[in-house]
Amino acid sequence: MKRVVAVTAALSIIGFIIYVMAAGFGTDPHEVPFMMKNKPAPNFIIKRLDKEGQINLADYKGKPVVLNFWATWCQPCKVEQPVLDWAAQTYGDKAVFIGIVFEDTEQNTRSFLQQNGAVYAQVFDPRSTVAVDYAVSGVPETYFINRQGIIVKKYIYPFQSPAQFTEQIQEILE
Amino acid sequence: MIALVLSLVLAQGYAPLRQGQDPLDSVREQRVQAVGKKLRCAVCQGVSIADSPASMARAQLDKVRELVAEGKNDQEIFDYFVERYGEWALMEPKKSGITLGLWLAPVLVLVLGVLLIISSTKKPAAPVAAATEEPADDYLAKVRADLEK
Amino acid sequence: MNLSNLGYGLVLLGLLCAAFAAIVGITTGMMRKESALPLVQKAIYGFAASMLGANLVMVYALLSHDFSVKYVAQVGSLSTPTIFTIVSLWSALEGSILFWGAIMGAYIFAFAWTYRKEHGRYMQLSLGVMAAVATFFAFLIAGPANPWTHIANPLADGPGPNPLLQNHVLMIIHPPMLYLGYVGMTIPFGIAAGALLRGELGDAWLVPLRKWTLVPWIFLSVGIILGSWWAYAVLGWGGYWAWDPVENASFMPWLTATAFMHSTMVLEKKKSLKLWTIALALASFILTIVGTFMTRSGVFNSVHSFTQSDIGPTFLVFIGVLLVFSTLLLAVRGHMLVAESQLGSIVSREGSILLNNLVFAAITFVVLLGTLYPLITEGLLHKKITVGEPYFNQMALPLSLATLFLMGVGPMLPWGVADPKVIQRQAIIPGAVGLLVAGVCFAFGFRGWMPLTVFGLSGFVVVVTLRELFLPAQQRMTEQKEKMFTAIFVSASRARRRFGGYVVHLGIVAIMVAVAASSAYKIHNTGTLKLGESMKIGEYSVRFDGLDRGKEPHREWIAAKLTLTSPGGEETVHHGSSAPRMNFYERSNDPIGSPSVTEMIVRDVYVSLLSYDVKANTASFNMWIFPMVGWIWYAIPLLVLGTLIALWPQRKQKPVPATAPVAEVVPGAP
Repeated sequence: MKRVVAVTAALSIIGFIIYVMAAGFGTDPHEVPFMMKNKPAPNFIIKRLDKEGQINLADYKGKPVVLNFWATWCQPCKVEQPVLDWAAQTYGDKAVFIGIVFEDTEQNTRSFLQQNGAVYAQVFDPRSTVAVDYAVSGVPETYFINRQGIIVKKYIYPFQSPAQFTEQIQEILE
Repeated sequence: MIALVLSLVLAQGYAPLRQGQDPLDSVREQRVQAVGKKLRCAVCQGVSIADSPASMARAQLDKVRELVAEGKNDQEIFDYFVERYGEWALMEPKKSGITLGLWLAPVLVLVLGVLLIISSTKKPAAPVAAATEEPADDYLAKVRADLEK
Repeated sequence: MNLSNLGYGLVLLGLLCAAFAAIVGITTGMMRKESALPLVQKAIYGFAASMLGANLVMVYALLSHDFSVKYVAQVGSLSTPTIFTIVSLWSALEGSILFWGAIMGAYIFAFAWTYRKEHGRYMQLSLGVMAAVATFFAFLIAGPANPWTHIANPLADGPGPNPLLQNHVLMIIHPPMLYLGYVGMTIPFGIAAGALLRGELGDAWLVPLRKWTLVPWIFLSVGIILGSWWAYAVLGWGGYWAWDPVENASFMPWLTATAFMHSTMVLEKKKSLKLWTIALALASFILTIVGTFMTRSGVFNSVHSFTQSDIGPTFLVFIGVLLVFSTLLLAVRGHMLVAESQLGSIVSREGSILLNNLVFAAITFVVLLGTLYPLITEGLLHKKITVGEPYFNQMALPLSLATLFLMGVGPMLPWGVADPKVIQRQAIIPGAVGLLVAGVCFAFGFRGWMPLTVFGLSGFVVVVTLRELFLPAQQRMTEQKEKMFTAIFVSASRARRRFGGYVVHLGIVAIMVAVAASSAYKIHNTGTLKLGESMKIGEYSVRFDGLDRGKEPHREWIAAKLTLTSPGGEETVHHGSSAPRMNFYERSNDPIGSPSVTEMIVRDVYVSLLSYDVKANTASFNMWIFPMVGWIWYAIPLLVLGTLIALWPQRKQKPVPATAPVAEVVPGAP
């Protein structure tokens, strides 16, 4: 009897461990949890790079904001650039688009923008402090902020088609 | 398509290395490093922000410096990061909630083990003759003899 | 015939041989038909030969840059130096499993050959079980991790092996050492499972079980220490151990194997603890497989992980089978494993070993729990958490202090029941020395209860251990009028395990002292320096002499030239390869730092480059002074020496030779 109990206990522990490890298969061990969802977007006042002046996020209260974190050395960022340019032209009247460069040098960014032009506002985060405030965990990452200044979601992949972007932006346009 | 999961570390190319802020005075800087040891870098592989050479970790450590300079206590600094990354950000799991088990289970194992050992050994007080090296056991002696063959 | 087909053919042949040996060995063993043993042995030899052959073919393919073989196309490169081309055999997943197969072949062959004249009753089943494990690995190589796939239109060049492998010479020895440790645990598993299957649990299996656990144990020990040395010398974050899942994976079988080595003593002396000892032998093997799963499944987040692969599920099934098989085996045969004699009091040799086993089991539990806990919370509650260094350090500290204490107390206590007066008499000198050591350290300005406790306990342990080592020799010197070295040698060779074990203890004490001193008294400084500026680190001073950059075929680097001034005013220039640098590899995602480590017997000065600004000519550094940290790696020879003494075959009925064979062996030791 005692032995049956012991064996059953051992087998159930084994089953549990195997189950837990098997559950790990689908998941990405590098994924970082995102807790800023449904929290107010941290404010920032930083220098523009596409033209003179500064951007104060608080000025856009009442408008939906699309905030794209990127860097010049990041290849996938270049992949999604045409999609974001298209989106800024398509949704530019309904939402504010801000590109924010971090983990980069100002010089790199300026020459990159000179070569490629900027369709929407581009700002520079020299010490990545805004990125830390927003809990950025990779690049590129796109944050969607609603009219009330609440972060609705973030998209951690590069946009590869206009359809992908359209699907993501709907929620903050309502 | 979405398999193109990209993060700072997986992306092609490097972030240019950026110098962190200058350290604070030695007392406060010690606190910065100690707190940094207990916070997990957002873009690395399970390393603390004090240990990682990644540029994003420098930025996070700068944030800790900033909060220390503002006079925030350790708990408030941890809260800042937990608010953003969840308990995932803490290298040292909390001694409450779901992670309490981590701290209690080993203690439980030790206690059970000690009880088991005490129950399986003789009481020290028991009057016994000094144990002989080789138990005088006929069966054993026979087994031994068998093995010697 | 191309190399792909040849190699794959050899793997299939190996798979066939292993499967045949497993089936025939286990079935005839269960039926007790001992006549089938030669057949099993031959199949084992066939497996070993074909695995070795397959590896030679792969090495040849790598050296001849035959990019039509998938694995060569994956890790080979014309620009890689020859030594790293050979090393790339185990630098990626498929190759490492192929290499694993060769080691497995070598081990099983060595075992089968050593006991070739042995009676079939244990051998058949043991060899059968080992062959079953070998079958699994041969299957992996033939199927899910096949490196041989033929590429019809190969490219002219490949990307080369993982850059981390090319960064330091330690990376050439560290992985094979670990593999030798991991794979070797198959042998004790086979012996134990064979004995359990046979249902004859006398004493005959015990000696080979112990010896064949000691072999992988020392490889694992050396592999773990070399790995930590590598991390320290290469990764640049000023640490040698981060409780990373993969490090934990290698540590767990080491812990259970260490516990096993101690519990066998109780088993031999008291015929007790049989079930527990056998369970430890089985667990050590299973934990190596769990460790392999952790490194190769892509489920765990670790610096050391191989890239994501689909062998994870196969491994998990294998782990499940092993666990269930072992549990049922123990359940069915458990009644044969009852103690034959009563244990003495807790204040006795066996009592101290029981406590030692409990502590080791508890550390294993902590490591396993901490490693799996993030998976548990994620799997059950979808909540991501981190269990990092601070948790493991806090848990391991009191437990390690307990092992240190037991290492001193255990050897003093007699088996059975101790006479309190004798113990008191024996404890006086070591205890006094321990207190004295702690007191002297305190007087010299060392503070903190943790390091002082470690130093004090270490003094205590060293005295007890030295007394145990040399008391017999001293007796011989007075009674037999022998010369000192003869007396030491004779007394050591009369009790090799004992003597070897105590030598290993001294090595472990050195490691513990080094860990305590280097973590408690490290000095850290960080900051940015302009050209020509200096920074203080403890009593040393570091001057920044400007940046340097360079390009090699496989990497680019930026180095910060330094001049280190010692407290005595002596300057050492670190401008060349000893300057701290940042390496940028084409295939790596993060820059990999190489710190500048000035190693000294009593302390290391460790400077790593954090970042730099070429335009402003400034550089940021992290620098540390680590007292005594090198003793961790310097302890390796002691561990190896002790193990060799313990393993040295006991000569029967022959006079002991005057020269010491042990001493000759040391330089060539792994």
